[in-house]
Amino acid sequence: MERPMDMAKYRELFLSETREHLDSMSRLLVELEKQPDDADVLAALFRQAHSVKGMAASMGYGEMAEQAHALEDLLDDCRRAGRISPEAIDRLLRGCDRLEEQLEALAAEGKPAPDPADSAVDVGIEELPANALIVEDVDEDGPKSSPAETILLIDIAEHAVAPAARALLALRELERVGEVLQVRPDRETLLQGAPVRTLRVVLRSSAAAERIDAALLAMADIAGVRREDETEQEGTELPRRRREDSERSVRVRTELLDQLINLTGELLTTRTRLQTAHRERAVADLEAGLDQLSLLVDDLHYRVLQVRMMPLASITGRLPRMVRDLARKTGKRVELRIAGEEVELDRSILEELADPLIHMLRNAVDHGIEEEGVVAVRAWREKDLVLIEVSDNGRGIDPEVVRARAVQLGLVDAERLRAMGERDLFALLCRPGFSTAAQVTETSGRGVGMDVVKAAVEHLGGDMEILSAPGEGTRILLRLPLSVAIIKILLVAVGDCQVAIPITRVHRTLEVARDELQSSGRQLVLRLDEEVLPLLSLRKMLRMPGRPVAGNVPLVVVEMRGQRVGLVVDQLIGQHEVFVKSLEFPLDRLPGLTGASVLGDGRVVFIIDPQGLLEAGRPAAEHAA
Amino acid sequence: MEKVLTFELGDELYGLPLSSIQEVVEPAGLYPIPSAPAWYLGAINCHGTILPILDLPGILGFVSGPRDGKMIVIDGGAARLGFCVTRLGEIVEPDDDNSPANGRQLPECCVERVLDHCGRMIHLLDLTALLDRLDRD
Repeated sequence: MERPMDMAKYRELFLSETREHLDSMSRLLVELEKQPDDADVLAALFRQAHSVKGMAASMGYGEMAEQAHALEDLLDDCRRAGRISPEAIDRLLRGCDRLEEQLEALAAEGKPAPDPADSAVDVGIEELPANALIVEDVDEDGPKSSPAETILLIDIAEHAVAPAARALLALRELERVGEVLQVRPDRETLLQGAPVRTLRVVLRSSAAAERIDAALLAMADIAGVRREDETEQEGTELPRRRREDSERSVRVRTELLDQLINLTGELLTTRTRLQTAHRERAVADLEAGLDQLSLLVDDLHYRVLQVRMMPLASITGRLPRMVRDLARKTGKRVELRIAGEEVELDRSILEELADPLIHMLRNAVDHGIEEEGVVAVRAWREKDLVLIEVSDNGRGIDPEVVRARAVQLGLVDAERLRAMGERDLFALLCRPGFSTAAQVTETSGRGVGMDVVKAAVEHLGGDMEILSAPGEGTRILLRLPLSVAIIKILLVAVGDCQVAIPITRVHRTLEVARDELQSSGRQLVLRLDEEVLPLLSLRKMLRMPGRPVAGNVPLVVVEMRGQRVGLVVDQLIGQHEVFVKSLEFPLDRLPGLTGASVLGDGRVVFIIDPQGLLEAGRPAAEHAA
Repeated sequence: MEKVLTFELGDELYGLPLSSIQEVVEPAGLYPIPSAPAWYLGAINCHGTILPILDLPGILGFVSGPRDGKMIVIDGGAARLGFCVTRLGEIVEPDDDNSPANGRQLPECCVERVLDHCGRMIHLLDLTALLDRLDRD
């Protein structure tokens, strides 16, 4: 019985290492496309395929090993020929895709490779011409079942930052396995960023039900998949998935581990020193020992955070391939430049950043570049921030078009629009449903996603800025904290509840006299520097009883959905630097909470995301009305 | 039979196997959780971990009334959290796990089994069912 245990232990490692190998393989292939006779790159590719084969074989994943073996054979031929043909590159890329599908199926199922019998209905095979498959016999094995229509109900996780975007991704996934006949809510609504909780899809597909479910459940923020005729089994999928997030593993450099061990040694020495000083009542020694202890603890804290750090390269690996495919599809010549991949960020930040990065690159290729151009991703450190810039040298954004669109959508009144600087103007692009792209394109819809990008960045405690001029390209700058573990917060009180707002979300705080507030359409507003701020009651957002506004009103100005609003609180308490604890089930199910922290005096405060709170509260409010 | 910690919810006797209980605490502070449903009484700082405290009688539909000052912290595998109960009982070893009252409970009561102890029924709480319920609400 020991063997399955061992396998489970290595499975995670296999998954993460194979993912890395596949990422670098597709990157090397894109490189080879530019220089098809680079012997070093060919050799490197061969080694990668060889490693994948070896690992898959030793884990007992025969099908994957076979597939990797086929790639290795093909590469061996190329290596001997001294160059690689464009057809071979296409075949190898498809082979990598196939391996990746097998890998993801493995990750989703949590059990060894699928039976050869159902591999014929494997995800994605249908869309490839038969001769494109590298392992040809896979396609001939086993009969395909005839396409059947099913009604799928896909539940989007409640904490999803951008449920509509998740729903669209799920749809795209479904389109790979079959034909989507009907969707509710419809695409149009989803593209507007509607807060969808359950997506209803009528799907015609010959793929096995388990396989469709596995593919969907493997995606982020999909809480469950049901079929309409089995709704009574609702929720059976949930308990099993609840804890999957926590099983992630991190690989740590041995050098770092050694440093941690050394530090532990020094801490032990310091303890002895303090004990001796205490016994001998030697105050000077006690003080020196405490100083030493405080240095060591700081160092330990720093190193422990290092354990969670990973280079940006871990998410940029698949970008060259993606841009290549996009360029092909759109018929544009696009060069991708990546710099600063060695910059390290907290693992959880990187994970949340992967999708937004892809969104931004898609937009750049689709809407920025006209026929030919350069898209660049650049990352660098500035003090305790990491800056990531996605830029293109394409057509740029015309401020007049943005102004016209903003007026058309009724986002801002014309007078205020004239006074608006370009920085604020381009921030309007991040409003849901806003787009300047003239036509809808297949790959990125119509500039959908900037609101999603912004929400994701803000969720991480960062911010973003768009810089552009007609004919001079577009730059999108993300400012992110290095680590989510320690952040600065503003502590405010409402009733007997104290809550924390990340300082990066706070534009300013102020106290105004009650009579400076005006009412506009039953909404309290405040005129502030040529701007009219709508005021929201944090009490109401937290579903606490309201209280009459009197005397001086403390306000926290934050940005929500690209618009500044004033949050009315009872009291502004002050700024703190806190260590953020991530929330576990069931607290992670509560909307609008991003974490919690224990303050210096042992009090527990929760960190809120004002926008998330507002969105969660909205349906309830409508209900009451 | 495995030992069970008993507690009252309303006037019914409930129990949890000792293996699923981490500790019984008398928390120094109960801090409000913003925007949480009413059955979240608050959060406690339990050895540096932030745990929610749930109003178990409230969740299971018992009338509101006084609650015991002590709370039960469970480690249900999938979740760590604390419960308030009407009154904390004692640790007992049930006589029989085959009470005739078995199987007569509604699923929303989250009762796994009914045990007999000195002529009293102990309703063994079904933690998985309870956690699923929290997941859905």
